[in-house]
Amino acid sequence: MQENQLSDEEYVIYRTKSSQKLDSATAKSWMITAKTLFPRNFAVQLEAYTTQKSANNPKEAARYFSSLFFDFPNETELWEEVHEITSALQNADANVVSRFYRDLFSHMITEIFYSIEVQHQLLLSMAERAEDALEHCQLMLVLLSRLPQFVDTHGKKLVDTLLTTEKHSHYLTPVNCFRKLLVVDLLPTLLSSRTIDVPQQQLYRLILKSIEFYVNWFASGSPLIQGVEGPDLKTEEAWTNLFKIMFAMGRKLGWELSSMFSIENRELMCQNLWSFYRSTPLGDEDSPNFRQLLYCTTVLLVESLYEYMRKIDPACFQIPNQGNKMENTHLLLVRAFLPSFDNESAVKHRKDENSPSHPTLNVTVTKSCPTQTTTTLLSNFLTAVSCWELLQQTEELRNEFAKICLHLRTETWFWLPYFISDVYLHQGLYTEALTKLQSVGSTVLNQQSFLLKSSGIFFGLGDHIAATEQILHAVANLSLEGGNESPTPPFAIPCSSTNIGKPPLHFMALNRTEIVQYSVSVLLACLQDRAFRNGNSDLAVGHLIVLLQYDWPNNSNLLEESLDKIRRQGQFTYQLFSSYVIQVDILEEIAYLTTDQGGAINVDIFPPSAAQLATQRRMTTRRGDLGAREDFRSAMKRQMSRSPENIHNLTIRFIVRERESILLAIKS
Amino acid sequence: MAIACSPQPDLHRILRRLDFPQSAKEALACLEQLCLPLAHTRPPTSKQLDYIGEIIDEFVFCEIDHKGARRKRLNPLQELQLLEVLLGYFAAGEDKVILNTVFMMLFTPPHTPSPSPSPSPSGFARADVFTPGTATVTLSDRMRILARLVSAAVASHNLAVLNCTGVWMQQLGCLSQHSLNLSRVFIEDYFVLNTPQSTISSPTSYLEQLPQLAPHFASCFLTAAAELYGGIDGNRSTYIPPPMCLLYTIVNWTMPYTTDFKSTTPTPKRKHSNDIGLLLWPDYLNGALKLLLIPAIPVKLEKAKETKSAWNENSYYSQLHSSLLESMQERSVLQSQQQLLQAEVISPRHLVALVRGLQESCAKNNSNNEKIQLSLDRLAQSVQVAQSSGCLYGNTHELMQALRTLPYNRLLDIVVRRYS
Repeated sequence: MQENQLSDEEYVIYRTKSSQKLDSATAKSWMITAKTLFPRNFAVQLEAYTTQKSANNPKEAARYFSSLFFDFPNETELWEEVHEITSALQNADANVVSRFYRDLFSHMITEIFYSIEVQHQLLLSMAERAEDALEHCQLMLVLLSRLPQFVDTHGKKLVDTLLTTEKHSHYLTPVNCFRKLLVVDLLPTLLSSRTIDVPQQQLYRLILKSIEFYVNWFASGSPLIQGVEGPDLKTEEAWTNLFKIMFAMGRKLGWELSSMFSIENRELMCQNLWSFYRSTPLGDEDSPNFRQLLYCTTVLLVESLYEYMRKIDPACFQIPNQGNKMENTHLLLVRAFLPSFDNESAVKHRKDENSPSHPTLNVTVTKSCPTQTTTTLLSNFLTAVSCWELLQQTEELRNEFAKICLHLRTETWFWLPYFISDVYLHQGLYTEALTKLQSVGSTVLNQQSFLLKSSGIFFGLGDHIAATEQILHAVANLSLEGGNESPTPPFAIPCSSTNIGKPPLHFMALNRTEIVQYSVSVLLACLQDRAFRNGNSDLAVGHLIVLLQYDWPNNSNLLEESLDKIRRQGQFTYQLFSSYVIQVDILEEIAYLTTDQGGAINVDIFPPSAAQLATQRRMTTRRGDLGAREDFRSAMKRQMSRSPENIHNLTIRFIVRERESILLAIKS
Repeated sequence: MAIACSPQPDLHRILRRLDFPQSAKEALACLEQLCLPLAHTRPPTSKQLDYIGEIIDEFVFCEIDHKGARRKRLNPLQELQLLEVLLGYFAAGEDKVILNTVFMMLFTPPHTPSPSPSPSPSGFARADVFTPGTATVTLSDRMRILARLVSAAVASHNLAVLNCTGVWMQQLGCLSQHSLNLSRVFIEDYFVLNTPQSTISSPTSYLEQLPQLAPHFASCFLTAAAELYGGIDGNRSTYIPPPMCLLYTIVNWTMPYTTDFKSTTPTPKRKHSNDIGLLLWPDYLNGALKLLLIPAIPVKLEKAKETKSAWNENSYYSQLHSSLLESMQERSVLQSQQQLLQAEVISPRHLVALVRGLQESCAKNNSNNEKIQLSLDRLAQSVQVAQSSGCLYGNTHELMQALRTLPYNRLLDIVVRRYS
């Protein structure tokens, strides 16, 4: 096209564009001329902006853009640019274009005469033009994150929008994009404003929304949030974020307890809660004191509860394997049988009725657990228990907490009864623990856990037969090596239960070794009760001696006691001896019994050989029968030669094969 | 203050006992005492002025002897000693008002011409002016010493002297003969006689910072320099281009200058300090406009055709032009926002004169249409931006008529149609 055919505007634009091939100063002069000559012409003004944009000069471009924005609000090309700016603000792309737009945006603020109003209007109008609610909310959040001073103007409305949109959205889970925007992006900004006035009830509602979001998100085990592209949050930060919200929330509501969320130490946090509970009149359900105690305790409870469950059963929340072997091991809280354990009175003096917030540390953790995990596991458990107990303190607290549970849909937390059962166990309320456990059945717990746990509880209840049955069952399963599970036999729950003080507890790892270890200690506890009572209990003593081998020389005092009993009786019969007793120390002690110095006890422990049967001679250690003595000695030697045998397998074999005999010993 | 109120011959006697340059040094100290009441309170009586004048003539510049008879002019060494004394005195001074008063007393021109706002000082032999080494030839001794003092002050980073000089230039008028003469010497010392080596050395980089360090002096000088090279009233002889390094320096000065101008002015409290800039701005704009439109005219470009320096020079002019347009734009914003003085910024009369000059040049050099078009583009752009930003204040009818007489240029045509 010929120059002279161009209109005035076109000519000036043409000259402006062609001057860009010359030097920048000439181009700038043309630009200024064009702009002042045709201030109402969008093409001219846009060209001015585009020139600066292509020269990657965000500062100058910002000036031109600002006037474009106010003078030509109806131009589509302008809105394309606005869209570019807003999307660049929402991501952190390092590419040149994105950076240009972000710089452009930040330079708008340096414009003296438009100041931040450009940025504000730009984002606001873009949000208003947004096609869907999600985009609208995202843009409003960009606005608030860039210009937090406008949170008072838009914050409350945005909260309402997000709540309503979420309600009408198709999402079934609280872990959705609207909730994420509300809880993760909006709330911290909203709460940081000192001047914004949000009604108390609304804030309470937001607390519940936040708890619900983080709990469900954490439980989902995945950083993904429905409707959100790419994870920009880490699940590890869930609780930190929730605590931050509670801290800010408390400050906003003037809560005395809010400061506890800046404390790292969970025990101190519990102490804060308990001392607040004791020193402050709570008032009715709607009073601020009551509410803060309720919400703060609940938040601490869910945090410690989730962390606890995650540690003892990582499979609970589909948390991906983090490469740490230990993290994957299933832990089980059981009643502990300490090696030096005498009777209940030993535990009783430990417990301190007056300070439930300071649970005595009578809980141990398997040695296979790293120290770090041990510490946090115990801390999580005791914190959760302490918060749980606090929420059960009064009728009102119980009721209001129940409402929160309803809101959080805790009935879907399939593992919760399991925790409650652990709480009862910790409190020594065996009946309640057993009822709870039975209500879950083995749907959640695998059968082994169920058997082991209930076995300890039965023992606590004094039902040694049931305890033994559970153990026999568990070990039988073990020998099947992953075989199909046999149905758990129904068991009767005793009606009465008395709090017999807090029993020692132990977190065991659910592996073969620890299962056998625990089974042995339960059986030992049950058997010793039978073995040392008056009357003939050779079977119980014999079984006891077999089982003592497993953890030898632990519990060697039980061997002493057994030998004393045998000595008192003057004789000892145990037909299973040759099959299972191979421990050298024990064999020597038994052999010593038969000597004159040892008391010349008549020990009938070896089955007669074919030759003996022929001569009608029993291999006893009765005095004077020299042949028999020789036989006994050589039988002992045979036993000794078996000492390198695997004690672990031998023990399992014993428990499985001699099941009836063991039960017989307990029942007798 | 007995000394100041009733002049005492004692002072003369005391000073006469001293040798030069000690006498000059003491005389300056006495002057300060004499000027003290003048600076802050009343205007001086003619008797006081005479007394002060006598001391200056006899003891500072040693122009007369004790009988009042004319003495031989100071020899170069003595002149140097005097410069040293003056530089030392001003550098040590604290009260700016006193220093300005002393400065004015020292360098009151022999017969004060009225400060001339006219951009065309008469009797200015342009060809002579730009012959290197001739800048001081026509000056009086006192003005020559002042010119040397200013050059020495830039070299020795003596801001006090430069600030006083700025006030002095403004008092006499930046376009007055005295200011122009002073600027001429300064240009000769720093932009003509300097060698390529000295361009890199520190005095030049100090020179680059002058607008920040001594804004008053820098803007006065800029205005005067633009006038010296930019005047094309038609009655002048051949156009003489400014030295490259002067052009370069002006471009460098004006770019940050406009930025400073913009960033400091909106604060109402600082308005006063920017009055300097605002007052001088119109004069500078006038001069710079002229300066700009000339280089497009082929006369001078013939010499340096197609060389790198020509390209450089052209780009300097482009930069100067764009920063000029930008300044005008900034100013329009300031005026509307801050309700700053609505005084004349660029008079259409001045532009008419400029257009006439351009017209003649075009007539003489109609061979190179391209250069003329460039010049006309710039003129049209300047008129447009000045008009739209409110820098062009007054009746523009005559200007539009004059623009019509120029050779055809599309942009100019658009602009003229717009404002006719």
